[in-house]
Amino acid sequence: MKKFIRENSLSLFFIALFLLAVGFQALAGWQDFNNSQLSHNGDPIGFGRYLLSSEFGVAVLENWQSEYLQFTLYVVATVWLLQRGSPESKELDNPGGESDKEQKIGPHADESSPRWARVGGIRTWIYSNSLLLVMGAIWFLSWFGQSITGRVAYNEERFDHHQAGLSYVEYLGSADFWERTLQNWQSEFLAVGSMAILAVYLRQRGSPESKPVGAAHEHTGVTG
Amino acid sequence: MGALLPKALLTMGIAIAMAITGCGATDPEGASRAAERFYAAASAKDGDAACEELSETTRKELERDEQKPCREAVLMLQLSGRRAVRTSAYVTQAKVDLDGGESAFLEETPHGWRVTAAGCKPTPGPETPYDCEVES
Repeated sequence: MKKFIRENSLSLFFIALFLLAVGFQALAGWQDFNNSQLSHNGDPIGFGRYLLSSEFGVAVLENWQSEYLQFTLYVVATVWLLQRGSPESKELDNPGGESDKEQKIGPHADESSPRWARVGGIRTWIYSNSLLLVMGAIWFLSWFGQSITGRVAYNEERFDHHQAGLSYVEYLGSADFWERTLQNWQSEFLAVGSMAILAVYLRQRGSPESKPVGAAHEHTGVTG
Repeated sequence: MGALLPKALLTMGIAIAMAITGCGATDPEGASRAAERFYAAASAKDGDAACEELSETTRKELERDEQKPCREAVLMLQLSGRRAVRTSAYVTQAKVDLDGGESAFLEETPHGWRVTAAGCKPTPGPETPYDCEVES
């Protein structure tokens, strides 16, 4: 058990942080929703009802979609795009999908390679892109969820102001949908771009996200 | 990490399903029925029954505007329609379109749906609120 915890401490730590954060977000969001209800002479709703509401759904999903988009883009962009001196970049002479030998695919696979890397054909193609496919699917599903829940929450607000509701297609073209989407995207793109650049010049001793402390600024594609 | 991925996907699936199925109001039919009761009572000149279907704030607003008790003021409203033809409900708010061509807005309270605006007609701009006979 102790060994399991140590060897999985990174995922366990972030799962625990996620659960704590989403739990407190739900509590704070519930309070905020009920405060808003009272200020409009409405009635407060119960915690369970809030958890199943689109108000909570859109608050969660609009952030999920942007995080998964960030990692999806990072996974795919770093195949071809480079950043001189960054540990986040591949070496400058090696952009692209690389050879089957470098990627240990098909006949170049060894005994410890996953089976779908060895078998060839469509299965190896799928496995070769599986990280992108799964992360991209989670991004798309959470963005779709944001559009559904966002429309419900927005139409609730519009009805409260005695305005007409929007159809799903109208909501996809609305300022509310794009403001929710882009406010999350811009922060993710800024964070990723600044990480790629800052890691050229700055170090964190012992982190695989950083170069070794004594590595030269020009040295690309090394972690330590 | 391999075992965590299916769990993460499962959680994601549940969250999406919740978002899609749990997003609307719990009882949209209740909103249609409340709007129909309000219109039926007003049409039958039963002021007390009509006022029972109004939200507290709307009732007070009506009494203040007309300078009369609700049961009398509500009978002065120019309303047309009896049956709900379309209901849209989102979380705690609903809009019911009636066969007379006008709409009512309702909110869900611990005592059920209550009318917050009635006799509402759309206005030209897409962002401008409906023009209502009574509203809070």
